[in-house]
Amino acid sequence: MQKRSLLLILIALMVIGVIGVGTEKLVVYTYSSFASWGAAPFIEEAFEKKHDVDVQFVATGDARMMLTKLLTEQEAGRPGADVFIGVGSVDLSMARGEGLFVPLTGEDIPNLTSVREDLLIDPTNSLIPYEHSYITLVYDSQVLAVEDIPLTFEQLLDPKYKKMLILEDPRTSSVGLAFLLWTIHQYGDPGYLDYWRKLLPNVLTITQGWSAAYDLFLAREAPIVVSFSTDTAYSVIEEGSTRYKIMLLNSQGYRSIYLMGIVKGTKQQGLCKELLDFVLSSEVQEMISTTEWMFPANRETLLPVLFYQNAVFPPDPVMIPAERIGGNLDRWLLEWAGVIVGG
Amino acid sequence: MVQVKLAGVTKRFGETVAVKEISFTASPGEFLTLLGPSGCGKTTTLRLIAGFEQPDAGDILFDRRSVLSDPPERRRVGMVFQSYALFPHMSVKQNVVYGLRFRRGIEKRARVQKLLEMVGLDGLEQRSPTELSAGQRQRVALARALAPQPRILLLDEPLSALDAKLRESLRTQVHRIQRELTLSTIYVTHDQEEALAISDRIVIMNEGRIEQIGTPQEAYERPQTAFVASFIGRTNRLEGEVVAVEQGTVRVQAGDVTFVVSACRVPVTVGDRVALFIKEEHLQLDERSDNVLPARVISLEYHGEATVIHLESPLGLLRVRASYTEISVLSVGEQIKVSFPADKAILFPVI
Amino acid sequence: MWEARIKRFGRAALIAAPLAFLVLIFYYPLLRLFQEGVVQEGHLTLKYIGGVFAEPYFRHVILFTAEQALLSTLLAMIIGLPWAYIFTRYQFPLKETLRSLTIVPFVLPSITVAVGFILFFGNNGHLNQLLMGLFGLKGPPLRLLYSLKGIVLAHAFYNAPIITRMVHAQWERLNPAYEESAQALGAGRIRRFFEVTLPLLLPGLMTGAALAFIFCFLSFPIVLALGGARFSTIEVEIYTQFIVLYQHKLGAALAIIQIALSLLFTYGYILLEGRFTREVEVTYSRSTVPLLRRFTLGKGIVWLFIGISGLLFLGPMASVFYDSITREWAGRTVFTLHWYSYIFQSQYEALIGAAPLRSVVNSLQLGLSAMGLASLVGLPIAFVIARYRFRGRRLFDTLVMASLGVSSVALGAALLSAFLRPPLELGSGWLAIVLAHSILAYPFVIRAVVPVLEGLKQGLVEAARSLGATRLQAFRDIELPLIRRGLLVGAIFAFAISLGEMSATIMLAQPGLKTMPLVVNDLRAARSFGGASAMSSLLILVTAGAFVIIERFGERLFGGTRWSR
Repeated sequence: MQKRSLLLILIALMVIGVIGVGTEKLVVYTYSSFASWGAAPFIEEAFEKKHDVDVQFVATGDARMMLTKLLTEQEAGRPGADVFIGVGSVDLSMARGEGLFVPLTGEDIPNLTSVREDLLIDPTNSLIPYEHSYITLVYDSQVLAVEDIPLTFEQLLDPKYKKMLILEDPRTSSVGLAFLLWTIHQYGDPGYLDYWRKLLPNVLTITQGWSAAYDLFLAREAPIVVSFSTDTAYSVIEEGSTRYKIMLLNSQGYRSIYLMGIVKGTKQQGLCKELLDFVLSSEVQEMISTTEWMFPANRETLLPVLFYQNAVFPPDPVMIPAERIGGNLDRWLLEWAGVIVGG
Repeated sequence: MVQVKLAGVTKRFGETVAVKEISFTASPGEFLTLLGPSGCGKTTTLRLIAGFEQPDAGDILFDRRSVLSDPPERRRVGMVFQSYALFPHMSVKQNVVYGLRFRRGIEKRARVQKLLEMVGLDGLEQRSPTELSAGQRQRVALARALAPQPRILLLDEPLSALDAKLRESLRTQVHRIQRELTLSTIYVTHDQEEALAISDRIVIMNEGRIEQIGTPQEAYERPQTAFVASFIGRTNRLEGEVVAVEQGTVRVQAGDVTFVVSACRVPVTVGDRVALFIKEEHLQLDERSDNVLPARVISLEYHGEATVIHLESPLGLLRVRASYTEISVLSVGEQIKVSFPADKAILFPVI
Repeated sequence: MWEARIKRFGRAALIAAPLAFLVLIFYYPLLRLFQEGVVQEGHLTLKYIGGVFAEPYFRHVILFTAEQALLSTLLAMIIGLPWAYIFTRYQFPLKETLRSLTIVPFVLPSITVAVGFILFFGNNGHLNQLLMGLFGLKGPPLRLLYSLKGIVLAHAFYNAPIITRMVHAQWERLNPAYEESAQALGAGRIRRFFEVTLPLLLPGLMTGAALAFIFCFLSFPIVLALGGARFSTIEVEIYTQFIVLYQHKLGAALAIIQIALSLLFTYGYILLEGRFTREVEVTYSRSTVPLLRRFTLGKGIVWLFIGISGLLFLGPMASVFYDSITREWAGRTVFTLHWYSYIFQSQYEALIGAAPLRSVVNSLQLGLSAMGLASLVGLPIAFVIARYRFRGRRLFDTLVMASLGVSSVALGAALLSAFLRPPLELGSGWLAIVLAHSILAYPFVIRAVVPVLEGLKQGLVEAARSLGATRLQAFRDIELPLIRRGLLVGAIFAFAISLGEMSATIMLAQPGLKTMPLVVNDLRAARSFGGASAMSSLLILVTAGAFVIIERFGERLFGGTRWSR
């Protein structure tokens, strides 16, 4: 009896699902925090007012999951989105390699000219930036006094930091990957492996993703974590706390740029271009800092004072070019895994 | 060889009283049977003796020492369950040896061998219980219980799952073994034929109480309560009213007929309603005895060594057990007369 | 004549339908995915699979995956068996409720379990804080996490209830005469247990242990959260290949190896199970002893065990709850309902169906549908396995269990890919998720029902048929009520799987279709850890409640009176 009615429900749902309504719509794939707490609601409302279109943000997982979804769909010839917001710079080579996005120019996107040049990392501009930050270390000032913090990569190896470091897995986390690339930038290939071997005793654990790492950090399991240089702004503004502080190694930070693009095959290229332009407009860019906790890509945007005072711009930001990553990533990840495995 | 004594033992399960103030003593080496219908409390009594239940009142003594504080594993009783409960994951040999693992000073292999021989199963040591027939399993269960030389042997309806022929041969075997080992044995059954055949004494139970304790003959020929009279043997029951009480005899009016009865254990007075119990074999198919009754033949059952004839009389249905030759001359529907002697009818008042 | 033909057709359809379903929805998409791992430019090749085994790092990962699964299973048995004993032997208030609740840890998304563990057992967790406070210690005395110890501990916590359930279901029907015989023969408690009781419980124990092993083998978030990347498992590697590197060939090769190992293991288990299942006498009730009256040393030990293992179970969840009602402000910890109001606030609700209440409803609806479908699929298959003896039966049994041993990331990818093209153009959404969940869940129904069906005496069905019942009626009136316990256990597990499933759901979800675990994930990604704890607490509450209700309702649905007319 119970089962029969369930079967009926299933069939009914199937029927309902098939009757999909088709109004003019624009589908944007993005990551969940952008959709829920980020600028998405504002963008949706404002854009729908200006243009007669139904903007739908689809964000069921993190950016990488959504990208995989899009790639799978594209392979089948049925991409589900018109626009993608959220490709991380570390994934650029992978995304571009699949030829998924439409190359753009300053004519297509007027606001592109206001974007900082060092952020335009895709020469074809199939993927353009909308926000960025820097991967650095964040520490708990209640546990580590400012005199005690390491200032260089070499100092980080000191035994006094035993089991104090929380890292992310580069295979599953873009933040972790950024940190790995940073060490490769510093020590070269294969010198970085040696560095990691020496670093291991100071590592408490290597987590799956950034949120897991930050969770441990907030739970005080260890006082140092790899995170964003914009974190301090968050803790000051949202939590009223100056407890967490940024630590730069060798005065550097690793660039983490977030990109968006128009999916090839979309039927609304014009509207998509308008949307991307809108994202780069000062209205939206001003929201970036306090919803995404990132720096806006548009250099003409004003930042809130507290944000400006507390977020950190590393004097010497570094980044490995996408082409180099593309050819070597799987080998690097394997070698790295070989070094850290065990326990 | 141990004396088992129960004194005023009572056991309740929730609201129901399963066993009410039971007292009896089994002498060392005696074969005592607890007999009664389902639910009379005999299995519960057995489990109390074994230690799987604790009495709410009363005491249980082995050789005058109370065992109430001893758990089953310390009472050294050998128990055979109705379902045999042979360990399916062990071979016959391992089953039998099981109780020996905790007793020292016994030569295990020889003992197992001896016991299997005793029950007639030597050669089957390596088999799994699932490969044995029901009769074989029962014998293994018996061997297993006997192996550790228990003080008392307890058997809970061990033969009820077997067919008639097997039952008979196995009960003889059980009896024989018990005699050989002179082991105090308490046997539970609902089959009175079985009880009569092998017991030294029988404890007849009904609704948690003891109706009678006695030898098989006593139970059979001199029942002390109406229940025992009807339960033991194959009995006919007639009802009537006492019309006269004379020295040694009682006259009972049943319908149009007046019976004379000379075996009456319980004092009765004129006017009492009574029940008359007459064993099937004591009814004669003629008018020659003291009390006569007309009846009509309904059916005949051939039992080999005897035949049972069903009759309808003015006082109800009767059954008579007689030899084939006597009955073969009768035919269904025939009106005959039956009779019984005054000293073969047992009388009890009915409430 | 026609009637007979229709009946036979009906019966065949009953078996063929679920099988066809499986082939279409599970094997076909999976094989499509796998073929990428064995095909290169049109020919079959073992290059990728061989490449995996040739690489020492991957070999190490495979061995480690097996090793931690084995240790976890052992610990789960050590925790789970005593609980089965407690449930079998003792009677105490709220026993039924407690039994329903032991499943809750299994339901929770692994991240919640992991977070709870960290909050409770971590170096700065509540347990260590308590101990440090009590004994005035400087540093945390219990360093359990971020190591193999932490992984094994969390797995045992997660999986012990499976073992308890399977063993208890069998134990409570075991004829006490076996143990009493041993007792009369002089065996004390411990010997009785090891030499008589345990061998007779082996089928249930093995089923529970096998399931636990497979889960630990496939486990992903817990291994990473409580062990870290240094303790990588095959599943992590699969995730990396599919999601990060978008390298289907190597990913498929790994997934093939993973499922091959699982199948091998399952087959081995099924072979052994056949040897251990014996014709054991069953009973319909077993007497229990009240736990609360008459204190004895034995009962005291039981209470101690209940206390300590209760701490293990409840601690992490209590920590999550505590986290949901506190926050840091200006350096102090204060009690607050901020997080609960946060997840219920209207701004959050206005968005793409991410409302927490909506996700609760989604999760429950999906769970019930998946449970129903999994039962519909699993029951006939269980029947075939239990009742018919045919060649290759064990192989068949192994193959239908395959979905247990497949990576959920790979399955999600496979289903998504398959649903985008003919012949299965279903797209993503409700139906796709229900199908994915049912696939992942139906093996539980099979595993729970088969032993019960096998234990049923055929004579009962024959008696019913001699009285005029058709085969189907006999099933409905005789077998179904008797196997209801098994069916209920299987159905509840299926519900559990659906509620906690994440990897495949993420791939197949759509706006408005978020489930509770997805929302927890989202909250953490958005830095709202307190909010995530609040949502997790809600998740715990809802699932615990749902279980209790299902079990009560289910008992009445299948039990006795409805069917006896």
